[in-house]
Amino acid sequence: MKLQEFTKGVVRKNPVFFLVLGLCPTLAVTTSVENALGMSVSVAFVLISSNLIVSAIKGFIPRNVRIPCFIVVIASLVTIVEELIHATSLTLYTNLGIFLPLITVNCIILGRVEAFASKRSTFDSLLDGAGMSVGFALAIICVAAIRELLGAGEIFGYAVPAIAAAPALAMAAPPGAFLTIGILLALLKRKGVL
Amino acid sequence: MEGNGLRLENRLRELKPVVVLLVVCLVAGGALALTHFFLEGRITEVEQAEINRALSEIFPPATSFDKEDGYYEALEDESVIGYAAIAEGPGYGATFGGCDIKLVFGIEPDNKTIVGVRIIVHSETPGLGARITENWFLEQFKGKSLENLTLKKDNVGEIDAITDATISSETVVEIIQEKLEEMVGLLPEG
Repeated sequence: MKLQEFTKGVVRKNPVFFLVLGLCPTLAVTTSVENALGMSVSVAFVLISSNLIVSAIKGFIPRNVRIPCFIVVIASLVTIVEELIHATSLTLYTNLGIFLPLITVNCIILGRVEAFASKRSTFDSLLDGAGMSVGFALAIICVAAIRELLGAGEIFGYAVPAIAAAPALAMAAPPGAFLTIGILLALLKRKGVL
Repeated sequence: MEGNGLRLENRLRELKPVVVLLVVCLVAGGALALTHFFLEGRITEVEQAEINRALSEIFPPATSFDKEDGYYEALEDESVIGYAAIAEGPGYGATFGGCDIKLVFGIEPDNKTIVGVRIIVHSETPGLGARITENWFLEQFKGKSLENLTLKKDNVGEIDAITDATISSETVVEIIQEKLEEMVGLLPEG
């Protein structure tokens, strides 16, 4: 069943909660839902395109130089995304800051390229990349929503009066990200989702 | 003869990884050059819009801004109410492939003290260096001139750095200092 290649990344093998990969952006940019969305879209573009490109050229790449080749592909795609965002929204560009060029070293991407796209068909790789992207987006948007709500008393930039008066600042700081991910992970394990 | 052919074939096989990697790099380089070629103009436009907004924030009464060689002149009905310039330089993010910090600052025409600073673009760490855009940090530059525009170190200096973001704070102070010095030399009345 082909569709499985897509759905596995969304919940069962969620890159953040099951594979526990790509925690660097998950911890860093999840201070607001808007940033998380920007990061999700950027990662989705890079992940899907690098999966597609690598699965298409895998036949020509000698085994001993495969990793350098993959990195060149990924880094170029990241630079393209970076320029695209720079040209559209300066706010998003500066909000994502250094984590935008750092998508290059997001281990979800090299992980999927090496473990999946370098061995499978282009269509399967497309499904895998899309599924993993959706899974990553769901995970970081969940974390960001919780942190924005508790840490800043806002949701999507709109103030929530009851919390905005006294937000839990620790939730906006890096420890808040660890706490949120830990609690979500525990709940998902407990419920037997993963 | 046969031995030579075999050796040549082995040579070629050894060279294959090199050639493949080279081709991949060339194609990637070409794609990047193309992207840059098409987006460069758009990026300049987006930044210019942000610069214009920053200028009117720094000089609210100004009715127009004249672009001179190396600086801007803020005008309120023909009379000069201040000067502004763009300063840029590598912060912390640039070390990891991010862009330089780029900012606009305005000065008074007479005593050349700073009236305002606005960050245009940067790629500093969110939550740390990215706090250079926060008001409390930028407000500190108000009223400073070339003489007292220094980062506080061991209780000496005027401007408080951001905790855990010394490099970003230093860059902002340094690029303003440098540009201000250059700009004062360029101004009409010297």
